[in-house]
Amino acid sequence: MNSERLPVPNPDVLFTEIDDGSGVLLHLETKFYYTLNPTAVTVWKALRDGSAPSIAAIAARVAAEFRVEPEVAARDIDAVLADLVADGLVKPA
Amino acid sequence: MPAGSLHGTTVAWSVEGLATDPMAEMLALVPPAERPKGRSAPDFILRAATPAAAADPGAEGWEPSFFHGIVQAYRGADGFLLWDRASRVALRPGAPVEAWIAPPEREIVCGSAGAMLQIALTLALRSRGLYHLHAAALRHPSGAAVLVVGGSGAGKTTTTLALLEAGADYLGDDALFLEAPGPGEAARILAFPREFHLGPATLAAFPRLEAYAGPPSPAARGDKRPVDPRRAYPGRDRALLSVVAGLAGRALAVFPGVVDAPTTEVAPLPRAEAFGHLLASSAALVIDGLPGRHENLTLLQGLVGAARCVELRLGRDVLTDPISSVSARIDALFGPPVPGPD
Repeated sequence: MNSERLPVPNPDVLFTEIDDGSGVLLHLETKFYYTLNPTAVTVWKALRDGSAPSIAAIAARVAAEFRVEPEVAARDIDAVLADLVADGLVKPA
Repeated sequence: MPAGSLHGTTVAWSVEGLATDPMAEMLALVPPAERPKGRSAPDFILRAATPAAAADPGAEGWEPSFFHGIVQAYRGADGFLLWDRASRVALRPGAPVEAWIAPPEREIVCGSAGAMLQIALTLALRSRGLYHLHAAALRHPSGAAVLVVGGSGAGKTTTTLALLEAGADYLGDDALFLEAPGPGEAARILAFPREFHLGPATLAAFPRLEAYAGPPSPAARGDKRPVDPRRAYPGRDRALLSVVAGLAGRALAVFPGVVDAPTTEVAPLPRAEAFGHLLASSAALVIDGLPGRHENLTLLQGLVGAARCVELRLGRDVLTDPISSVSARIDALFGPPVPGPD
């Protein structure tokens, strides 16, 4: 995943945060829902809020929040973003 | 003008030129309401359909929106139109629901006009703060609220009847409403009083109910037979379950599924998975153009946040002893019974 231009949430996708830190995305076009673990919720919020300029910035946030190495976090975020793109949950910026 | 009362919401209707009253049949277990004061217009107007109602609304400029069985819904600039190839129901914002009902001999699928009216009612009630949920709800003898959620074949009816036979009270076996919680509440679950509809296998598993089962009818969907829960479980109907915020363990959301195992087991279900199942049981949520999507999501969020969510893996012991195999697993999740109402 190219970190220079992060994708943005598809406006046809609704996000609901659950009180245990997980979340659910509902794609209004396909009618499919997707569950997010707390790491993926952090990624989604960063994309939604535009609060992180790069994967490295999101990885730093995940590393601090979940106590993992930034390199591991970056790999996980790459995988999350690839899934989000593949399912049409995010769109190119 | 006939009218029914659903949790303080009055639904009044008029019938012109029909041999029967399908609204009265649908709302047979709903308490009657007095004629609304100061209101001259009904909420539903039912008329006899002309053969022209059988024409495809798609050819009249309506855009397909969603479908349920044979019922196709269209969306236009002026609301929604439901169509079953013989009858039509029009929903327009701020206007009474208008239905043009064909006689039973013109229906392609028996009972589909009644199904259309039920869809129309659940859609119309959203603007009054009542959000339909396809699920069963019970009050466990411990006093806890129990929601049973599952699609066709998941074991929702078996789970519900097993808990009822073991002494639970009921709100309904497959249709409920959620409304905004009051102070101190996390969720409010309301009954949609209706008959249960049980197939031959279910009746064989719960033979006591055979004595209460009526003959198959179009309203009872194919080979399913209607059972009036007021007769089968007298005095155990409940209108409301209030889920109190902060009382962990006093509400349970059960998600049954059939597994290839000798015994029935309970396992925790992640809240996100539970929320997803609730989304799948809230069909109107994904219909574009309907009011209340955000409110509906918030109600589901409150419900899943307040309830303990478990997967009920129905094993082969359900085939021989459904009542004990289900109720023992659920009872083990709660403490001793609590007498009295909520």
